Amino acid sequence: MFLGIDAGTRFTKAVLWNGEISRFAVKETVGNMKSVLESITKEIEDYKLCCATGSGAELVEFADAREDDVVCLAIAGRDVVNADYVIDIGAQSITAISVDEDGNVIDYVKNDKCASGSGKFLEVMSSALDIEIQDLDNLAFRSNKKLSITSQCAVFAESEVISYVNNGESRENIIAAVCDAVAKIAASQVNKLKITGRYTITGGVANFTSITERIKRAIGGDYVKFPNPQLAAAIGAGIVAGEL
Amino acid sequence: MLFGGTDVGSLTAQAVILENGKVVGWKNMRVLPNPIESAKKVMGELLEELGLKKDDVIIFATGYGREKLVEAGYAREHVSEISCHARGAFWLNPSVRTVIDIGGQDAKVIRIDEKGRLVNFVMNDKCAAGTGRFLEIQARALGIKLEELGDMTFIAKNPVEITARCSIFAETEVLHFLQRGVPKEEIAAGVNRSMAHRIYYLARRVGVEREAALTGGVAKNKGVKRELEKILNLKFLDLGMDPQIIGALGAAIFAGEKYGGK
Repeated sequence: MFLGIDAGTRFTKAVLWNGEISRFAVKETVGNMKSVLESITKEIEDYKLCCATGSGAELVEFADAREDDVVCLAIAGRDVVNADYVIDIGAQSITAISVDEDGNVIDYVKNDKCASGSGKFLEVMSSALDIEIQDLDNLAFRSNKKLSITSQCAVFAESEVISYVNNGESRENIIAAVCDAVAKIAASQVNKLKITGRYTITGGVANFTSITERIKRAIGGDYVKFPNPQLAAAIGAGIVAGEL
Repeated sequence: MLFGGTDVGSLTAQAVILENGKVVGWKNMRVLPNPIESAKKVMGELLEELGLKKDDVIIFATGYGREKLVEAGYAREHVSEISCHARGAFWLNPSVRTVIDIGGQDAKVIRIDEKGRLVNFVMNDKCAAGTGRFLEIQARALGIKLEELGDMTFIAKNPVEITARCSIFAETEVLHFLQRGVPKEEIAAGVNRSMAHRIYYLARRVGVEREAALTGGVAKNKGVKRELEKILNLKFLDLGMDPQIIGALGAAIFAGEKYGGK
């Protein structure tokens, strides 16, 4: 049994890995990292080695190794769903990675400088619409009118959302437009890599079908669903721990 | 002869009236939801204050909705914001060669020659970083008024470093500093400095000459102005006029040049 920990900016994920997920835990990354890690590993003790990844990897003091999140995502993409490309949408970043047959990174593009299209982008829009982010799929599914959000900047997109609210547009139609915007931003990021093979979508944002469906439509081609996409980097870290 | 200019921005709208080549009045207000109504209201109030009728004045429009103001018959012609800012600043001070205009949702750096003609410009209206919105968001996170933000640069001792470019990520940094008990003025000063850096990176793309003027609403933030002067190693020229009305002034000057004869 090997432990993979992905200490993200918004959530910290732990996966106990033995060729498949034996156990996992997800906790919000708030306050002291030590207490977040304590609560997340409370039930997971029987592991041999641990590898940490994510922006807070350095804070996982008990880790036996640390690995870059792009490397972990590539390994998980190849190992779990045999993907040639991984598109990861996290709380504060969008990453597209091309992966070789052994799970090594061939090339990648990453935007973590700006909230455009990230989970944070979705949070800002949801809060402007006064909806819970978990309800995003249900609401977007019920849209019946096409609206569009043209700004890539989260701040300017939020202004567009608020204008729509003030003009009496429904939350369903506005959130659908937000999903369109995220998919468009993600697709344009991904297009820098020229996807020619099988791809998967990971990261917390991939939990929303409204988003993944739209990205699939924008990119086309051979898509494979990643089970439990929020855990992808932690799974990759677990696999790395097993190879130590 | 009387000439007027209106300029509608994302947050504020301005009107200026010129008589015989002199500014006789100006007005600045928050925008209404509709840019046409904003222009009509700000100009209407100014005309009333000056005891003038709309028909006494030939009006040129710039800013949001400027074409529609012409279609609606309210303005005679419209001119781009870039031209108006260049014209307005040069008219006030003919030594100006660079105009840095920072508005609510955009920032422009405009280069002009010794005759006041446009040479080159660069503009950011795609990203909120380096615009008034950035400052608004951080002031809100700090729980202070936008007008209070600027002066905090002058009382801060050790300004924090805001590393994020993105307004949203910077807001998260500001909140973390607050949670850690860092004094507000140190954070505010860091915000002003970070804003100045964004403008510097934009300005670098066209270059800045020493004879530069800072205009737009953000020019009223003394902290940003001071930080920008430090990075650019210059002192902004004084235009002797409210820095927010330069666009509207430029529009009025164009009206005078075109319809005033010699």
